[in-house]
Amino acid sequence: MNKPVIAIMTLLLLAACAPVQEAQEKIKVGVIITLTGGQSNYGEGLRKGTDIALKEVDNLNVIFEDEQSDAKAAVTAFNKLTDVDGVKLIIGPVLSGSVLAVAPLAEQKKVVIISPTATAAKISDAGDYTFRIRETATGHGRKMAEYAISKGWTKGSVLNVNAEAGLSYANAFKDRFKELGGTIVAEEMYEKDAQDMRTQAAKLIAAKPEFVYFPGFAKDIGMSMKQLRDLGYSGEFITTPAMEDKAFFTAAGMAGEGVVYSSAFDPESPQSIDIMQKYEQTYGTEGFSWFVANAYDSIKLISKIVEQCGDTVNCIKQQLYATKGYVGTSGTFSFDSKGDVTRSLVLMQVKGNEFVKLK
Amino acid sequence: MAIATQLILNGIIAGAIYALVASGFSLIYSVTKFMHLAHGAVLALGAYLLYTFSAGMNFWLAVILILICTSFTGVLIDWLVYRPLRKRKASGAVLLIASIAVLILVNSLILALWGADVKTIPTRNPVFDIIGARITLIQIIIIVVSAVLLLVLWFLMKKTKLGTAMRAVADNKDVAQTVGINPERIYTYTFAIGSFLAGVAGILIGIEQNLYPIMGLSLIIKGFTGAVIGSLASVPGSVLGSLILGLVENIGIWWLPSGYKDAIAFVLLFIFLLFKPSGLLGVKVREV
Repeated sequence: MNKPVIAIMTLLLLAACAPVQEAQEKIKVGVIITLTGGQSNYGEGLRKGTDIALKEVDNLNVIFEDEQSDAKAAVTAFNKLTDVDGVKLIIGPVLSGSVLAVAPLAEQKKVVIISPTATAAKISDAGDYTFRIRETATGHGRKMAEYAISKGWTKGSVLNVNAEAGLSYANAFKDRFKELGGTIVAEEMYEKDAQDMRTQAAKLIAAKPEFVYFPGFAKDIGMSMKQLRDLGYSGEFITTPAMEDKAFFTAAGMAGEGVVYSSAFDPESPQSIDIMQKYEQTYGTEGFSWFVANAYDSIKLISKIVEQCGDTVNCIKQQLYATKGYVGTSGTFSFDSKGDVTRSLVLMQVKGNEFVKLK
Repeated sequence: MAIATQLILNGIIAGAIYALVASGFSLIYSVTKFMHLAHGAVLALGAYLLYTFSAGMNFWLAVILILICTSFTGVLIDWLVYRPLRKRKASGAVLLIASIAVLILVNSLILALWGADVKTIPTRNPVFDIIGARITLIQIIIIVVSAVLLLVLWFLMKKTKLGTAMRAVADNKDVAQTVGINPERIYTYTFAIGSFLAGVAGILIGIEQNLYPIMGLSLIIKGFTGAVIGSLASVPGSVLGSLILGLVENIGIWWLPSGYKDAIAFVLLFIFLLFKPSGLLGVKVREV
């Protein structure tokens, strides 16, 4: 036998022996978030939230995969995590469309997925292995319709992104608004990642609504508002928690001032203040949003469950369904029989480049 | 009345933006006969450079630097990627795949260098009223620059020695070589000019829209569509095609639900690919 072969074999033997002592305890958890693509701004908050939580738990071995803001990439990431890494538990994906694409595979491979952010109504029926710690869009849509009526507005309009989450918010909003006696005078749509909403804006303005409701993503909600103001619209703007990201300020500029939206994250609760302080210690004062809190809670909750269950999927599922009144940094939540959580909502407002509770 | 004007104006603005992308793309295509999709990435690079330079540098100095950088990047891509492939007599399909690879590579580099979050370039952008329709200063500049570019490119191609040489290489590389034109040098010039145009487009679109790493991809898709409608191998054709695309998209969604905007664009693309693949200004393309 020649020398290089002996050297390689020795190395292999060493490698095989070395890691035996520790790391056996850790459970592999996949995290599929939008690190690149149109909604990568969300991924940034989610990654930071995950990292903050990982400093506080020691029983998880997290493997990040990129959703690329695209359902196809989410499926690839899911397959990689389950087939190559052998993961049984996944946090993510982020976007509702991606969750709906991955859910049937999760069911088939008996892998639990917990989305920290997905909000589309359809996900409730996506399967027994699909959970989310985000409330559905329906509650948000209804809340904002009630807010609009309470302000005495009767002629409304909707400008939404043509994506699962956007449609869920828009439908719930429209139904409730009409139920309460309002009229929707215009409904317009744009494709995900569109940059030019000027013609949609011109059509909305021509219908003379008192306000516009924007179910979309942070960046395009901001752009739409700016383009509406550029074209001379002077009515009110109301929107969804998906805009709570610094990308919104960048895109909207002055047009974002005073915008009202519903949120499950109450920035004045003690748990919220706690996570905001933790964020500030590591990342400074900029860029905090509820996405950080939701990611943080996902990791902490899973860490707690895995302590009892290891990576036994049935046990994890049962524990998730049995989680009631969990006090997280994103609020207090309980899972229902469909793997959804219910949360109480508050009204928020944009004031001087900050998201504050509406007074 | 005001709405009709606004709609047409919106169409022209969108068309002018597509034309900015399409002109450089089709200039390169007309000479080299392959689709340099990485053109979109060079454009995005121009926009991101403006974002960096706009903090604390004189605007015009920044513009000059960016145009030099993008021209150089285009030439570099040609030298490092396309030229070695051409030497191996790679087919158009191989070059196309290579250009997609370069597009993804540059996108990822932008992501690594500037981060994933959305950026905007702060500018003062007053709004004007034109017969009942509203338009911003930047949008006016975009329309004017597209028109000027069209004239300058037409002059370059038809009236200058370089343009004649470029057309000669486009027409028949081997014959051009026999009369003393060095095709490789012409390719270098073509990439420099084409990527210069990408720089111009990057600066203007960067100011008008938001910056995000994959912006080059979505822009090149629309620019490519405009170029196919007009004529891939003719710069005036691609500008015309882009304007038509912008107008049809924006006027079309006046009647159709606005979610169909992209569908309208791609149906138009299919119609042209099926019935008039050489485009409106129909310059015949010889496959290499």
